[in-house]
Amino acid sequence: MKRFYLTPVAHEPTAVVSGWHPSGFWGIPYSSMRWHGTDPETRLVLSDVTDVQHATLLALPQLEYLGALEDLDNPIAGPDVNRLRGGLENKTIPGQQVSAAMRFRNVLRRLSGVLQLQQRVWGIRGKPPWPEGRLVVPGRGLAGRLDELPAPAEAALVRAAEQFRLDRAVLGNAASSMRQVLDGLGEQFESRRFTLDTEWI
Amino acid sequence: MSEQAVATYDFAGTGALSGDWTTQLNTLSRANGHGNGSTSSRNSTADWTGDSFDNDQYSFAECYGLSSYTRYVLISVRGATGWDAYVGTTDGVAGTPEHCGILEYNSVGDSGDGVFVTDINQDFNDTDLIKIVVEGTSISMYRSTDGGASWGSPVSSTTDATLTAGDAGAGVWGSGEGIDNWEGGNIVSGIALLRRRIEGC
Repeated sequence: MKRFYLTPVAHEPTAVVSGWHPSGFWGIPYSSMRWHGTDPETRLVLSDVTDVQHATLLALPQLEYLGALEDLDNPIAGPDVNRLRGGLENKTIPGQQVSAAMRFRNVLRRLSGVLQLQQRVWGIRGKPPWPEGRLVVPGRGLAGRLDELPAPAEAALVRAAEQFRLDRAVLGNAASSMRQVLDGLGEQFESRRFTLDTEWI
Repeated sequence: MSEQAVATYDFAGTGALSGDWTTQLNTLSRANGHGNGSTSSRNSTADWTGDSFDNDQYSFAECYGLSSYTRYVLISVRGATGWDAYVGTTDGVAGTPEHCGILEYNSVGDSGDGVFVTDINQDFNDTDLIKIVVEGTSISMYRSTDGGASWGSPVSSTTDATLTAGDAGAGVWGSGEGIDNWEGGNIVSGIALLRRRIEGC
């Protein structure tokens, strides 16, 4: 069954080519999207795994399960609401907006939007040194205010939002928390599809 | 409006690539009518800079000399200085890890490697064509076993917003002859094609 996960990358020392892969997926086929906001980076992963592989993955401490492809249009069950909220926030991705009224597809599209914003900021800013390309305030995380971001990161975020043709009202308030900013921008991706593992989500 | 720019190169003969190419990582050259990698366990890559490409573009080539964990064909889109690029690759072997997938290269340098964003279970054979297509933030990889007459559905896809522009390109991971008959070009939308046909009437 194809399932979604959020997991940090880990380095496989026996690798021939690269070695950096989503934790738990060395040797398991996968498709992923990169989240450059944390170190090590995190990946949104879609993988066709067996129930046994799924159980093994769930035991990994840093991995968050984000539902099955065939369940994307099901409402999010009560226990999963708090789990998803916490799992996303632990990776400095806004999660408090997750509610029982939402479906997994809503969460995944918002998440993919935040990931794409971060990717575009990374592209605009160029490569590390961090934290100029991160969208969380050092030491403050998502509670940090927009005007506490390093100025180059804030400018790059504005440009990224322009390039994605997003409503940038939330960027007009310097006192907005980064949680509010990323929530406000990310929710605009709910009507936009993205592709992963040959699937349109 | 997109122009239907198409660049082709058959790697005929032996020696340096033509002036339409800009070397990026190590040295990609010609040997016995094939593209030739200069360095064992390293990338030898170049971008086609003889033409300007739209941001939505493709790159494909014929597989040659594939060898498990030793020689990979590389085809790239949105390549820029230092070979920041989206790359499709295979060493011909089915199974995982690190035989086939979509990679991202970001400031890796001559001795570095890209990062597998998708790692898929997909075989390729010499004479097969491998193609990578980037359109907006969607990146897809295809295989053709009939010389490009048909491509079918993508064998792998992902979404990334880091790179927005650049050139189509090619390369070999590993030393020796590993690629043939390259083509890069712009993606022409159905509307653009229809307009062109109408204008041509």
